[in-house]
Amino acid sequence: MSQHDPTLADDAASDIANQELSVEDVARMQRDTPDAEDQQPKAPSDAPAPIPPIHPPPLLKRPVSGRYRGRLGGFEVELRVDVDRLRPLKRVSGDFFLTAGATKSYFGSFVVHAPTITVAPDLVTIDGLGEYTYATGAPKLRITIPRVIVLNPPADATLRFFTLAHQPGATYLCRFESAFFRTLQIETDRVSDVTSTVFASYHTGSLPSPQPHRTISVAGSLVEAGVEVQVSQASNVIDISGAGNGVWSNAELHASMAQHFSLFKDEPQFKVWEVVAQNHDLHFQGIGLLGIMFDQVGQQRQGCAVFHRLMAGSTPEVLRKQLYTYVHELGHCFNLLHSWQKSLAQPPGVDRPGALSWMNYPQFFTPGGEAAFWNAFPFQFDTEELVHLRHAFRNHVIMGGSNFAVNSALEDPERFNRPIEDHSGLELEIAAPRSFMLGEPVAVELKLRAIDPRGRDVTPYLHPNLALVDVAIQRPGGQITVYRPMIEHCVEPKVVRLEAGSPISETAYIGYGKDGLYFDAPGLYKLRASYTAPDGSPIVSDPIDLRVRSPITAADDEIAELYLGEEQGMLFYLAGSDSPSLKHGNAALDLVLDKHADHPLAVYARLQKGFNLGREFKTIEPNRAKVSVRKPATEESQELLAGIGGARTEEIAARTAVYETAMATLGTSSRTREVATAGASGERRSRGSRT
Amino acid sequence: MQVHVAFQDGFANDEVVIRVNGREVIRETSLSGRDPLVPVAAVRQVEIEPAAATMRVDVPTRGLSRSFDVNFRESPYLGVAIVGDKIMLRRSSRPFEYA
Repeated sequence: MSQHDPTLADDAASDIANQELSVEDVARMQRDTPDAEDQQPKAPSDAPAPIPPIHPPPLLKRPVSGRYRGRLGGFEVELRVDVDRLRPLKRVSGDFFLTAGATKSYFGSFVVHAPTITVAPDLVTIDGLGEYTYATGAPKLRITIPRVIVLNPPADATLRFFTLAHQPGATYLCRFESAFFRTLQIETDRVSDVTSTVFASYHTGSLPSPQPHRTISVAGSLVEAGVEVQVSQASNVIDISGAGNGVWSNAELHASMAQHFSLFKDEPQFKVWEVVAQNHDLHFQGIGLLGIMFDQVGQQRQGCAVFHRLMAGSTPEVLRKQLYTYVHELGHCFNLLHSWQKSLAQPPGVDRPGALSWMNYPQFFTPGGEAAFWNAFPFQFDTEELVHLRHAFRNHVIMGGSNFAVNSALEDPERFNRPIEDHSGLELEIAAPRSFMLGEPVAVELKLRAIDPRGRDVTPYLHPNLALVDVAIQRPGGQITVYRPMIEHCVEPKVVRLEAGSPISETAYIGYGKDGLYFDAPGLYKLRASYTAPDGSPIVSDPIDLRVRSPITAADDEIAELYLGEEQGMLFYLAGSDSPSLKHGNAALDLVLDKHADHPLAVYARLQKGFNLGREFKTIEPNRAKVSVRKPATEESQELLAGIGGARTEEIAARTAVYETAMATLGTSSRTREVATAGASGERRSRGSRT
Repeated sequence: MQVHVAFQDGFANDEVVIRVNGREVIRETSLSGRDPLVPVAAVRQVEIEPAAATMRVDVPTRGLSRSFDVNFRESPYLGVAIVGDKIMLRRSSRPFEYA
């Protein structure tokens, strides 16, 4: 079983995935299928037909469409087969999950848009070439599902992968799980100033509309799309005071969601909060807002709101509008755009202003406008939207789908996403001061704690230098990189018992590494850390924000420029150095002390110089094979470090304390640690930990 | 009569001029959409006579122009949008609603 590609039985066939294909290759693949193992229906004989015996009518066979689940090695697959049942789309898709230690994380997805479906009396066979979110060595697949009578339980599906050369890859035996393709949990809350009834159901025959007429609810509309809906019983009435002046802004709605959505988590999940409110800011700008998907911050699309201001009452027209709005907003939560704006998607779709869909606006319907829309609207999503709901890659449809990896430069963007399941009993936290001035060295604190009361075994090395903890940094423009220390330290593996209530922590400078300077521009950064536990479980922290502030004064600007250099970054990383190769960096720090001795940021130059002078420093002289040793310049060191307390403002004290601790971690002398007092003051720090 | 003009989707820092029977009635500058999920950039009310007229919409920032025959009595609510490289006019007898 491959450890890296869930479609391969082993890793040997993965090279084939790099071949370039011609149109002849693709046509041949569509004609060829893997060696048939199954019986095809036989052609009828030419012999005279005997008098047919009378047989009882055949029992109905079960549909095969739905959701299946299988496991092989460390991989789990959720398979979706869509070839019969309501509005079959003749597609199959799936999501892979990887089990590592005590965690299960999303690995990737696949879809087959145009499979070949062969239906025999006793077997359904589905063949196709998949599209994947990752590079796979075995992109072809075959699914076989025995046909059973309705009196029998659903049959298992066998999912086999093949290389392009028809070599067998991995095989999964998948148990039938559900007739639905997805499952969504909805929590609906109402704001206290909404006096009209929260929508329950509407009969589509109440006003002119196409057949079949039926009574449908919000949940029912999604069921018709193949999405199972679980309605949360934790339904609250939210006090209107959360909206300040009784009118909601998007920011207030988001804050209310964080407070009231009992299923809320800052991670992807098929869970959504729908709040029924009365008034929105836009109403008072003359805009007739019926509803809004307001959650466009952080892990997005987890919440939406409908506004009864323009939908009060119980007439058929009002109920129809309510049903439409409630479902329309949920469509946005599933990442569906308006019908006439599909070209705004990434990648762009085709605009469909004439779509008879929940996602169109009746008044924008072309041709014919509102009346024409309602006369023809079947109260459904259109086919393309159904494909998205049922078969889109997981992160394109799930609420909160990986926002952290947008524009990511990560090779493995899933590495810093929260596992789907986590039984590791461990929690990782990353913390840092909320803001830094441009040029300040950025240091973070990493803390690992056992949340299992019995404790957990851990390798107690949290410093990124020791390669068990990675820190992902999202820059203001959205680019994400992983901090790579200049020097990786190899340590003897050691496992210790981490008891609950006794966390371990480490402070690390991460401003400079193999990729250069990581915080060399003003703006908002996001950090997230990942630790690998001894059993392989990835322990991922919550993300934290960190702002690098622009220089305000000319002195701020000059110091930032003096600190933001490659050599200076190396000096911050090494806590100072006598190395001649870093003389320009040292000269820059000297200039800070000469010209800006009283500036708050000068404290870092003092720390650098003071720490370095306070320790012994060995230099190998070139061409002489001799080691010269500079003894600690204790008086100079003390003079520099003693000046820190006065020069350090309260504002900067906490940040320098973190950096001092990071430098101390690098093994500076105990004497210098005594001299440099780390007095953290009350500046609030940004903390991110999983709960 | 009062006519409601909604500048809907497709605008990005655009200048828009609306003339009715040659008379300028609305001029907007730096018109931009606020949110793709709420496709309206601005809403204006303007008194227009007569009830039926030719309405010309110019978007100088895009080099686009288009004229429409409009019965303002039947459609006092108008939605102006840029779709692709065309100016579109949506007409309604009642206020536009957005979701």
